[in-house]
Amino acid sequence: MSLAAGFLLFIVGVLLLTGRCFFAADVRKNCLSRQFLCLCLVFVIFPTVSGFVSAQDLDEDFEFVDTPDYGFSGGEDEFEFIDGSEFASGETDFETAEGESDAVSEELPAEEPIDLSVIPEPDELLKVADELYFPRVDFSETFWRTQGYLNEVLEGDIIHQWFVRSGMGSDLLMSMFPAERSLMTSNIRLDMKRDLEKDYHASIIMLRGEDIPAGSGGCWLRYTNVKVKGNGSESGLILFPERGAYAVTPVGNLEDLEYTFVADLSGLDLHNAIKFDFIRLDGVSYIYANETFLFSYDDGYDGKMSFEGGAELYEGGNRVRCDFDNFTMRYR
Amino acid sequence: MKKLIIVLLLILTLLLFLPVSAQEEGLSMLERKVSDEMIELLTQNLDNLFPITVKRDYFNTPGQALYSDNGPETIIEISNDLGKHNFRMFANADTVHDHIAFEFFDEAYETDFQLTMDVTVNDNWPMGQGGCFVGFTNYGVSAFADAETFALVTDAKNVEIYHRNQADDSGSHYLLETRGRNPAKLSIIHLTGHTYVYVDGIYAGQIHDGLKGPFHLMYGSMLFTEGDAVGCSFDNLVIRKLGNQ
Repeated sequence: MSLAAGFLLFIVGVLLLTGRCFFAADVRKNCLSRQFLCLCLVFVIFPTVSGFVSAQDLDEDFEFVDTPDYGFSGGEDEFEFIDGSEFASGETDFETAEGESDAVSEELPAEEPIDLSVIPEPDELLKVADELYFPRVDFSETFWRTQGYLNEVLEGDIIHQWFVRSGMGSDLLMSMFPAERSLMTSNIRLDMKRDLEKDYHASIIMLRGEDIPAGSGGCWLRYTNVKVKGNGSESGLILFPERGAYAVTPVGNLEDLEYTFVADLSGLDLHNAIKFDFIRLDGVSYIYANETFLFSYDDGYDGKMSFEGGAELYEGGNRVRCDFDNFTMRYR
Repeated sequence: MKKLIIVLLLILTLLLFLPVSAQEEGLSMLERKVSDEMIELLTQNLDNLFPITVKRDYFNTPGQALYSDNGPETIIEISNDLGKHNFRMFANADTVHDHIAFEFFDEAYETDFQLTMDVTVNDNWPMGQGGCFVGFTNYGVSAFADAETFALVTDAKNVEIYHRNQADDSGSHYLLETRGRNPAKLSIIHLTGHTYVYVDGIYAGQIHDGLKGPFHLMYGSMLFTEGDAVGCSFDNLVIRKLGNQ
């Protein structure tokens, strides 16, 4: 109530209360005292009340807006309430009658059979993959158990260490003098080269924990059929975050592998932990970083793949360590 | 045209030689140094690089001695006394020969290891003419020519690092910077062809030998050509190796 309205009412009230005293001569005497009392009350109560009320209205132009309905948002909400009498009588029939819903919730869309042969768009695929395609969890390694150190000296006087520490599995390469050649190693103790199915969803977190001096090395992940074909004859895909993804194909001499550029990964920064997801369905791999789709790749191989990751020491580098966590494998 | 071809050929042959000479210039192998940053990383990671204790000895039981180059007037006495392993060597200095009395372990070790020992120089006469050492040698265990590296503590409380290689008749030694204590805890590390010495837990020096091993680990006393007598005590031997835990 605004101050103006309050004052107006006050005037009207006074007139009503006192008016009679002025116009009724026979009760004038008593009326005046009564009038005085009424006036006092009115002078005290009314201003107080109106002042209190007006204090609430800091802005005279304030308009009340309907508060939004915090129920379910969306266009198709229809609440169907169950008639309570059904429960009271104990004759509740939980079978859904035609056209009626038992649930106190939004109406569920009609169940249509999902066609699994139609693979969803990559962005959508990651969200539904586990539910639709990969219900079986083969293993989930969180590296919670501290393991000892695996130490060896590799050709070129490069020290290789693999250990589990602080909840992560680490692959470390160190050369006391600047490395004379680049070298890639893997996590031997974990044996990430596990047999796989043809279709899988692999998820792993990777991070470059040490890089001394800066630019000494990087980390890599790859899947290949090395378990089937053997070293030197494998094919697959390798990821070098901060650089690129390359297709792996054997060269005839069993010594070298050929790397063919597939996708640019220079936008990834290994200083921070990156969660990689590899989904392979019907021969096509979908690669994600931090749940963002990167690229897909048709490796053209109809068989089982195994998974590896580790550290890479660049030529001239001294020390690099790659940390891994939450390595999960799901099968179809 | 012919002249041009000859000139080009000369230039090409010169170019072929250039990379070779570039290798030979610069530091000799012994002088190759590992950077301070990498030394710091090594110090931080000693425990996880050498996680396996291969041997530990507190010298509470008697042991045997091996003698080397002892002439008719040389006396070597080795004993376990008061929990220490003691060497006493007396030699009539002939100003020609060094005298060494040392022990080594029958087991031949890996190429990468850490040997730690508490070393006390009891006496040395004349001063500075000998001392007590820990080190390693491939004498008798390797097909290569004899080579050895050791860290020597003298009665002047100095620690020197020595390296000798018979193959190229090379030798080098230099004084390490230490706090100058006696006894001193010496730790000699051989890792990927390079030797690092720690004294009392603090990095003291390095030398590059490029040796692969396997080695005999050894310790003992030494008298130089002018030295007459030396006495050493050793305690708390620990040998750790690089390997899988």
